[in-house]
Amino acid sequence: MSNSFTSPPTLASELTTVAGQPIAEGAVTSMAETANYLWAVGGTHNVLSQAWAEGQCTQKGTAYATMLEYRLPVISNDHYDFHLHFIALGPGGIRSTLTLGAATYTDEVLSTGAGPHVIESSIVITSASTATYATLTVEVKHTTGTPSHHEIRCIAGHWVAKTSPVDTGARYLGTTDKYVPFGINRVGNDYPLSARFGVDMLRNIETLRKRPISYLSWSGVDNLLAAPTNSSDPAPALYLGIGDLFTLQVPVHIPQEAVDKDTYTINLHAYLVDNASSIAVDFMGDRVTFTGNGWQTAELTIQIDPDAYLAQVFALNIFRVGPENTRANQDELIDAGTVPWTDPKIQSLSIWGV
Amino acid sequence: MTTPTNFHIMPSEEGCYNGTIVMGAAVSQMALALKQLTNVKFRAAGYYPVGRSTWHPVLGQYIKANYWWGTGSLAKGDTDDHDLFYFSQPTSEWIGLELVYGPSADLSTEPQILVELYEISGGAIGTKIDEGILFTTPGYLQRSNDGESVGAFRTNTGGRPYTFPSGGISAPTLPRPLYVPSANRGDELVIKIQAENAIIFGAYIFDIYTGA
Repeated sequence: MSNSFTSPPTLASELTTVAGQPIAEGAVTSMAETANYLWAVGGTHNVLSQAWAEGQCTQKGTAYATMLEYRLPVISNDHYDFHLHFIALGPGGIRSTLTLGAATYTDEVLSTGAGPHVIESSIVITSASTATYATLTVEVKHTTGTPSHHEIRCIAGHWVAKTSPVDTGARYLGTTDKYVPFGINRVGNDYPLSARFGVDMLRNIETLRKRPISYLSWSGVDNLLAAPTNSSDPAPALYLGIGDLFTLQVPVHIPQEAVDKDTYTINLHAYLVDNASSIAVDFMGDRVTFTGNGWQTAELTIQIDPDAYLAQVFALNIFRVGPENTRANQDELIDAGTVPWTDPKIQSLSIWGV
Repeated sequence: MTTPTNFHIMPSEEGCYNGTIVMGAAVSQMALALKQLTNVKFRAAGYYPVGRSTWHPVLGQYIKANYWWGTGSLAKGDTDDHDLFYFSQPTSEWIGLELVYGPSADLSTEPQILVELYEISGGAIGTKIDEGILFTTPGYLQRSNDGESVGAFRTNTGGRPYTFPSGGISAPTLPRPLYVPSANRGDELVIKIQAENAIIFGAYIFDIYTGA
């Protein structure tokens, strides 16, 4: 009894799933296969994406230094293989560590190409985990050779899709979001449409609706070997700044039910430094107060309208996700007038939802 | 059967219990919900903020944060190049983009941004699979920053699938969604962006919802 699926899925025929028509066996099989496909493949696109202009995310030191750190959503307990892709330049190494709960997994890739080249890195989770998010740390070092630095131009990561069939037994995200795969033979010809099919399908759809999708991932670049002294030195952003209010506004389709109901959550994780008391930052109409340093989390309540222009162009409920261009944020985020400063700062930011 | 874009209300679980006649409408709602998940929620997307130097030339100081308000310039003749990974889905077909850019402050230059689609082959950027699109002035890009406006500019491909002429194309077209051939759907792809007289602050890439 295989929980198999075809990829891409064949959706149920519209002619056999409308009221007043007999429910045909083919439609039910298609629905079961589609659900299995979605469990295995849905949400395996980019969960992490960031790029830098030439010469910015650069390491000249020959010992590993932590330069980037992200919080990422886990899409299910079954997806155990996290793939990272880099566009790198120069000789050096990249060591990536994924932390889920108390467990850590690491992969290291060395390369020597003088020009921009693709680096692929795979982090495999070897112990079952019920963590719903992970922390990714990226260390970089330079090794002997020319040019005299190792540079990252682009980083992207995704969970690798599972292949058919889906594993047997109930599947989970965390400990509560449950998916019961469909045995395809059981929904085939000559079998009754059981009550269990309907009950499982309703719960499975709800679980898939809750599967997190990454909206925004941003990390400051830390631990340059030396502070820049002129305009030709690497000088990447370490903290969110006032300029990000104009550029870090990601167009994302968010179902209206995630805006109107408490059933679905939009998660925000931010890494704070120098936050002696608290700082309040506006995201999508919601003022979030961060207290203390390190990773802080919040659930966002969207209080803005969809972007009317993008909604028209792309025919979806598209919101601008990110720090909002408000007077409060203009006061709170770093600008050129606050150097040197001891104000609270955001060094990493991730937002994901449904 | 038009795909719903949001999470519509599902039928009652009691309607599927033993001894209850399962109505066609209930099955139809389940099928539509799966269609929404396949074609809307789980569309591929990759949102790339692009980090730039935060050195302040006037203050002569490392600000450590993006203090620019969307302006900036390259030396004449230089380009701002980016290779961005896009992990497509088996259902991916048309890829749309929104670019966040700053035109050069040099009034004598004309900004343009070329976007192409490549596959990854053998651990390297491989064959071009879409000849690409070219954003130019005045139709698709702001010509120059007059120094008074604040905020980065944005441009996009639009959301309408393109009808290729018979025989295909051999040069970039006007902005349109990029096409993923069926053989490459579900693959790891690369969006190659080359900007002249403009700098990129962000590239937001996503599968187009075609409403089928």
